[in-house]
Amino acid sequence: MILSIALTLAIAQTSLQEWDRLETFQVRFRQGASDFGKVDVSKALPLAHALWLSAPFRKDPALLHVVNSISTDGRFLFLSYRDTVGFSFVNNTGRMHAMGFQVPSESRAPNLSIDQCVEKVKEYYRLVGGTNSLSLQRAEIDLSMDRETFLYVYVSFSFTAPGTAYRFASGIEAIVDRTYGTPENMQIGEIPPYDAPANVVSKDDAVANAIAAASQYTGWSVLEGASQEPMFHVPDYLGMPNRMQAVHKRRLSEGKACLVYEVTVHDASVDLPTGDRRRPFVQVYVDAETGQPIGLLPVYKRIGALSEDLPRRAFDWSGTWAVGSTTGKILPSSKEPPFAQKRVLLVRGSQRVLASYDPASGLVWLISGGKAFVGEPDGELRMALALCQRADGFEMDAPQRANN
Amino acid sequence: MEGQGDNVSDKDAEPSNWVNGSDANVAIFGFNDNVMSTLKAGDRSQFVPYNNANGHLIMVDKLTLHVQALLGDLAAGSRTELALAAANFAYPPRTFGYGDNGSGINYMKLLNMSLSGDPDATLHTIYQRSTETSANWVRFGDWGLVKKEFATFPEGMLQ
Repeated sequence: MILSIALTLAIAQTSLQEWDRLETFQVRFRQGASDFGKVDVSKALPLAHALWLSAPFRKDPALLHVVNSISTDGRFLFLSYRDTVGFSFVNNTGRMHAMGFQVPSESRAPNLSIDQCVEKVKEYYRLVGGTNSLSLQRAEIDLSMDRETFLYVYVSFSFTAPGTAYRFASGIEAIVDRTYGTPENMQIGEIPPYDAPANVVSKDDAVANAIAAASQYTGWSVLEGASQEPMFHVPDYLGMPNRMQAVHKRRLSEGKACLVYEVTVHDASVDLPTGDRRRPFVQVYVDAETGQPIGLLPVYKRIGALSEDLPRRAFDWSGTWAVGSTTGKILPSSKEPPFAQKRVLLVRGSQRVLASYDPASGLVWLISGGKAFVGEPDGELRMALALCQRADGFEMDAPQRANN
Repeated sequence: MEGQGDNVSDKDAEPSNWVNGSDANVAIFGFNDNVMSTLKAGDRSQFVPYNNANGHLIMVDKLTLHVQALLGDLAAGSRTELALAAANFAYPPRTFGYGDNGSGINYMKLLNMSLSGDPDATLHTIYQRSTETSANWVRFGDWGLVKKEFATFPEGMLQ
């Protein structure tokens, strides 16, 4: 206790302009760690001090709870400065991968706008030495953190590939305190090495293939899919159902990124709005160079209610349907579904339907909710169906790696 | 978790007081949204991918690593506030976010574990899963828990 009091007094007496020396830190080694690895603590201390000086609040020094500490488990090193500024570094590279401020819990006034919080994240990223180009992805009031008082804003930026418009899956993300504009937790990624693509398939093609893969995997017949612009991912999909090729496995082993569409595919037969957390969906990762799905994350298995319990939207053939660039109508038919079939992709607004088409009878049909729906396309649509390519599924291999 | 101050006992550390954070040296941790993690009751599938190379957006390490870091720091004597920040920094838990512009695109976002109670609380007792059967271990069905006592917290430090 005497030592602790002595340390506290030493910190309290330190000039505001001087950063606290390493000797003032409580250092804890865990999990067999015995040193700081490649983390240069001597550089971190002035930075921590500068951030502490810049903090738009002060903890009451009279409380004398101020303690500096460092703890490391050999993988990460956490440094806390004057109970206010926190850094986390990767031990074996020395890279900072997270930072944040512990703010006073009392007298919160979450008045900063989302835009102001976005600007703050950029500022703090530069302050801690970040230099990559940033592309804003998300900025929203963080409802999950505090549903009553909206204390935080969630902000996500992607890094962009130098000289291109393509983004990386990595970037910076922050949960920003709306009272002070300080990040409570800012995660800082890094740009991996990457292979630039020779060509890029269209987003429509990528989404269509993702839907075919999702339908094959899940058995859903009415689906909705959407994708952002392709991003550079290190194709690390071995832990999920995947069809990674040798080139992807090589990139994974080398830590190299390639351009990938990340497609979200919903079960559109479920009558719940987008954003309802029970709405079943999968994420499909499509190689943007080849258009081939290479990974599928079966999110619906992990969150939300069981499909059988969800409200269903009855399927019908109303509306305008498209096959490629051809549009037309499909009338419901009471005929039995024929045996011969060609798998085709029909589009109605945001919905995509994987149906069977019989060239002889000209009928299309699908099974939804255990029931067959047979339709009779008009002449133009039938011609397009006869000429279009088969919308075959993409069989996924089982995960090759358990993520322990 | 419960601290070891003289002013705290099982009797006066009622759950309602914990939640209100009115007890010194008492704190609870928790999430206020679903966490994407394999650490869910009855869920033993290993299909959760993560991608350290990409940083964040596909999936992160399992929550077990977060818990390990949190308890590790607490066991090493760290205060709740700092132990939690360290765990959230190193192994950030994630939840799913949902596109709000009709795009239907889902994404993952940070979900810090939250703290309610005393940010200066320190750990008194830690339980660890094990298959040990010696007298120091308490058995709960298939689980073995060791009760590990830490040094007495100096009097007067909890003002």
